[in-house]
Amino acid sequence: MGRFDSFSDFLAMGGYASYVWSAYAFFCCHTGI
Amino acid sequence: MWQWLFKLSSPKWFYTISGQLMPWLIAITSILLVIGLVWGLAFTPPDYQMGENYRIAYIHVPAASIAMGCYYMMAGMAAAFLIWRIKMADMVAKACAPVGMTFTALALFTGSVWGIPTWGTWWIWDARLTSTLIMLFLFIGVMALRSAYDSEAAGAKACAVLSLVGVVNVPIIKYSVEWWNTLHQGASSLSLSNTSANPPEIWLPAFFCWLWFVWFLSDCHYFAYP
Repeated sequence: MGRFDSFSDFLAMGGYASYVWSAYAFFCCHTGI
Repeated sequence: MWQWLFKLSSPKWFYTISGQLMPWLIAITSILLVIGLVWGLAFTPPDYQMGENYRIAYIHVPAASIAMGCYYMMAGMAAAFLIWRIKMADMVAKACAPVGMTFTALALFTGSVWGIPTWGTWWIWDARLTSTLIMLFLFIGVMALRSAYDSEAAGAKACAVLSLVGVVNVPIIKYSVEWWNTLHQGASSLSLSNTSANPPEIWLPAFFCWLWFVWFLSDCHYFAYP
């Protein structure tokens, strides 16, 4: 998937999943997407 | 040009035009959102130092840029309102405050999340972070000040003055990383060369996200009007 070998790698974000996805989750909630 | 600007200051004309543009803006917003976020999240290479954590920058950097742009717009409209008494300028300034507050909060939160693994702390009172926090308080203060007045005209005038006083903080945010020794890194130099530290494949998705934020700003302006 893109630069990642698999979808699970994409979700894992190289060990930074909690940081990356919490930032994007806040972004989605905050902007009302 | 001047005639067009003069017409734009008419609320009735503005509502008509923005109403016609809205479906197109929403369509372009959606397309840019998908391109920017999918490209930034899945197709750009990882940073050689920060790894995948740098992908937060695709929302952090555009949010911070738009927040500062929003303050400049609010101050510019405040000046236009005070000098020429243009009602539309006050309405735009009024719409800028919640949008700017949203983007400033977003920039602060995403920066803090990014800072935990990168800096080892989510907050530090350095010049860039502190001046950005002051901008958040200014946006909140402008909104609170307007609602504190019973008279709409007096509230608009007070908000315009506060907006103009606070605009001095925006260049401080921009140049704080150059004027002081901050934990926050300086501005990255963008290059069209594929051999540079920041090749186009790294920063182009951020550009798309930035465009998306611009359209989002336009949407918010439209919806923020009473």
